[in-house]
Order: sequence, then structure tokens, then C-alpha cells
Amino acid sequence: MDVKTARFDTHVWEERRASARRAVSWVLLVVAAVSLLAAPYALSAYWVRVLTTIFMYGALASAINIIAGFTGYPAFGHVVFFGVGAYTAALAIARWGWSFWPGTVLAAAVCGGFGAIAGLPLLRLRGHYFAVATLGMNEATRALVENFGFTGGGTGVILPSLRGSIREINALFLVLMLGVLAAVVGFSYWLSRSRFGYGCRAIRYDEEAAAHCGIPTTRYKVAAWTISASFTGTIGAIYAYWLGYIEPSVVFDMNIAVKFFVMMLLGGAGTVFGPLLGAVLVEGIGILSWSRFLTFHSAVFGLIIVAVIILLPGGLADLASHRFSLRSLLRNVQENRV
Amino acid sequence: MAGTSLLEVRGVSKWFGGVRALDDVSFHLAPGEILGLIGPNGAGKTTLINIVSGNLRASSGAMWFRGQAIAGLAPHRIAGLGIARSFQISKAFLGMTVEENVLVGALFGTSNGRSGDRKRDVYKILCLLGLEARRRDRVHALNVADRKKVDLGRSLAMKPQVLLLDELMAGLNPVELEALFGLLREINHQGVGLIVIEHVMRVIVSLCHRVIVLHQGQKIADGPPVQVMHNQRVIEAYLGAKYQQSTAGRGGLTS
Repeated sequence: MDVKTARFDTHVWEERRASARRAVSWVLLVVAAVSLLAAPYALSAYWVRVLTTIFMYGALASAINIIAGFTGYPAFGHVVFFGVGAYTAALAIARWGWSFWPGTVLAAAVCGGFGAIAGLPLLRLRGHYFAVATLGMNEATRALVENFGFTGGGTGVILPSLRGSIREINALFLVLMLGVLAAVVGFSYWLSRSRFGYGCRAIRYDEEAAAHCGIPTTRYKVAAWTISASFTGTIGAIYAYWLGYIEPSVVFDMNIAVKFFVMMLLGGAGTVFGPLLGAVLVEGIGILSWSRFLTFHSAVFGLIIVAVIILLPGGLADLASHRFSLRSLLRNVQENRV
Repeated sequence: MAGTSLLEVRGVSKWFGGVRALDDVSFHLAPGEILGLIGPNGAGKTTLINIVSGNLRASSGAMWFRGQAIAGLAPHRIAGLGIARSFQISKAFLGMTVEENVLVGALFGTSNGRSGDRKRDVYKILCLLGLEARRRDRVHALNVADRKKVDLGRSLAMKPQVLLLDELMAGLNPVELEALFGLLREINHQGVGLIVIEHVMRVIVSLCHRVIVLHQGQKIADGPPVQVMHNQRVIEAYLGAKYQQSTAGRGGLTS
């Protein structure tokens, strides 16, 4: 091969290397999934719970990534859909005697509808204003749920307990959370390469320019939020069933919202696997620091947020796509004008 | 008139509170024409572009694109019909790669091509603009001039019939200017009508078939570049007496 063709082939090689990397990551994914399905029979109940929690947060972080990461609308009070999903399923199951699957589908539908209706006015706001408005939305919804009679008010809702051995029940929820995680990550993958996804990302970087490119921005934003809300509601429904008892302060908890938001930021907002990576790391750090420094826990959390925002605004996924160097970290510090 | 025009703007006015930014402006753009839009700062040039592209709504007046009324349509609808624009300060999508920026134009513009054709179109545009080596770079790694080219590339990928260029060439060096001239003429030969806002008179004179001059929101002149440059009102309002003297000394504009 002479020099000239070799130079032309770099493009081909680049593509080949990229597709090889893709193939490897898919194989790893399948291996991981299989070993995780075997986990409930190999691990203690404690570690199965930890894994289930990681999957749940991975799914939540990936779900908010659709609106906050890809589309650039920081829905800080996104936990509202988690709460509404949990309550919808809990009420359907405990009060109306529905079974789990229809209850979950109802939760997804109600949250989607809620997201669409709330999105039409709220998605006119941008940046901090939007973030604060979604916080208000969460607090208002929690207040309503606390004070309505049919929601059980502050006393919460008790769901009928499941039949079966503890091991079976643990396995069921592990699989359910893994399933919804796979669905959200799969959707994110589609989003990263579809026309709809390009439209959302264009809106994130410059909404005005996006509109002048022919992107129907309002429709796209509302659709992205509706889908994100509906996934979040599904996770809330599974959570309610898993916990067996829910109350407003548990499922509308801002700490949950902050946690999955940070996971998304740490892993990489607007990337496919970043939020999952963030969930694994934050939960991992959480477990370690919980057991060692009980009160120091939230300080560690705060330090992570500050460090990520200053050093790695693109999240850890940014490190994977670019060559890591001290200089790139310093450049990020400079761009943040610290 | 509306039948032969690509774009027809009639009696457009725009008020910002008590300030009249545009006052009863009418003009048309013929197919395959390059129309220059000049005037001093604050004359209403960008406001006019914003109204035509749907970014702002005119207080009064009407607009037609190929005979279809477009006043009051949302920006994405106007873009979908075939009117693309660039921005005075580049609004390329900073976190996306150069290639992705152009791809967004191709995905959402007027064309509904297959993805294979789209890929080829995007690459062709990147080559035309000399950006093919940087196609994998994110736009925030690019300098101002290159960002403007990305803006232009994105608009071209939309396959528009009218292209509105708001000070595209400010900040480019003479070599880049020459290359861009060639490119714009080429696009124009393919039948795309151009409306060009520029402050550099050399650009206007050598590129435009016709020029309109705005002053304090009013159209004060409309005609071939050389004729407009010698219009007394234009000289007073915009070019200045010094300009007249210097061009007279060098034997006119066309030399």
C-alpha cells in the first residue's frame, strides 16, 4: 500500500476502530447482564438490594438525562414524576385492586400526561427559572398529595405484600429495575443517533438557532419531557411496589432528585452511558462513606458536585471521548473562570 | 409581482415600544438574485432579517414566499419552506461537532433525502467550506471565522431557496473573503436568492446585483450598487462625505 492510499485509509480505520469499540462494549454489556441475572442466587440479600438500588438510580439518572442532558432543560424537581408514578401505582393496586402491570402502565401514562400538560407552560422558561419552577411543581404536588383524603394524606399508602420467598421477591425487583434501566439506556442510545435526538441536542445548545434550522422546538421539548417523565413514573411505580409502603416525604424527596441529578452530571450529561456510570460511582462512594463516616457523607457528596462542575463540566464520559491530560482539566478550570 | 418574486415584503413596520425600528419597508427578491442590505448601525437591517425569518413578528405589513403568505409563521415553519439564515454572531451548536452541526441542517431543512445522500451532502458542504479536516472537532474549539462558516454550512445543508446572511464576512481575511465570494456566487448560480447584510462596501459592490439602503428604519434607496453609492441621500446618511471624496479621487467605485 503506497503512502497516498494509506492516507485515504485513515478514515476507514477510524470507522473500523470505532465499530470494534462498539462491538466490545456490547459484548461487555451482555456479559454484565447475564451475571447480574445470576446475582440474586449468588449474593446475599444485602448486596442484591444494593444492586437493585444502583439500577434504580441508573435508570432515574438516565431518564432525567433525556430532558436535562440531551435537551438542556435542568428539571431539578423531576422527582415529582417519581412520586406521582409511585402514588398512581400504589393507589391503583391498594385502593382499586389492580394488579402490578396495569398499575405500572397507568403510572407511566399519568406521568407522561402530567409532563406534557406541565411542560407546555413551564418549558417556556429557561435555565435557572425552569429549574426553580420544577422545584415548585414538586413541592406543590407533594402538598396536594399530603392533604387529599384519597391519597392517604401524610399517613401514606400500604401496598399488599407479595407472596413468595424473600429470594424470589429480591430477584423480581432486581430484574424489574434492570429491565427499566435497559429500556431507558436503550432509548438514550436511539436518541443519540436519531433525528429526534439531534433536534433535542440542537435545542440544548441554541434554541433560537435550532428553530431557524426547521426544528419545531416546543413540540420537541414537550415530547422529550413527556418521555422522560413517563420513564421516571415507571421507576416510581416499581419502587412503590418494592417498598410496600409509601408516604409523600419519601417519594417526593428532593434528596432523591439531587442525587440522580448529580449522578447524571458526574457521569456525563447528554451521553448514553454516562448517567449509569455516575449512578454506579455515587452509590459506590455512598456505600463506602456511609459505613465509615456517617455524618461526613453529605460533605463528600457536595465535594463531588463542586469538583465535577469545575474540573469536568462534560462529566466522566468526557474523559473517555478525549485524551485525558492535566492540561484539559486546567483549561476547564479557566473556562469556568474560577 | 408576487408571482415572479421569490420573496416579497410589503409595507413592513416594527415598533419596539415607542421606538420605530422599521417604517413601511417594501422590497422583493427575484429568483437567482443577490440583494445587498446596507445602512448605518441601528438602521433596522437585522430587525428586517429577524422579521423575514420569523424570529420577530412585524407590527404591520405582509410577506410572501413564492406566493405564500409567511407573516406570523413560526421560525421552524419558515425554515421548512426554504428560508435559511446565518447570525451576526455565530449561533453554531457549540457542544456538537462541526459535522453534526451541518447534519442538523440537512436533517431538518427542506430536503427529505435518504441518509446515504445526506452523509454525502454534509461531506460535500464541509469540503466546500474547507472544514473537512475539522469535522470531528467540537465547535467551541473553533475560532470566530470558522464558527461563522459552520453557521453557513448548516444553512446550506438545509437546501434553502432564500439565504439571509447577516454580516457573514465580518472578521474574515482577504483570502477567506475571496474563497467565500466564489462559494456564494456558486450557490447563487444554482438558483438560491441571497440577501446579504455587510458593512464592507467592496463586498457589496462586487457581489450584489442590487442594493437597498435602510436609514432610521426607512428604505431610502433601491437599485444597482454603483447607482446607489452615488445617491446623494445614501452618501449623507451612511457613506459620508469622505467616502465620496476618496472614491472620486480614485476614479469611482468600479475601478
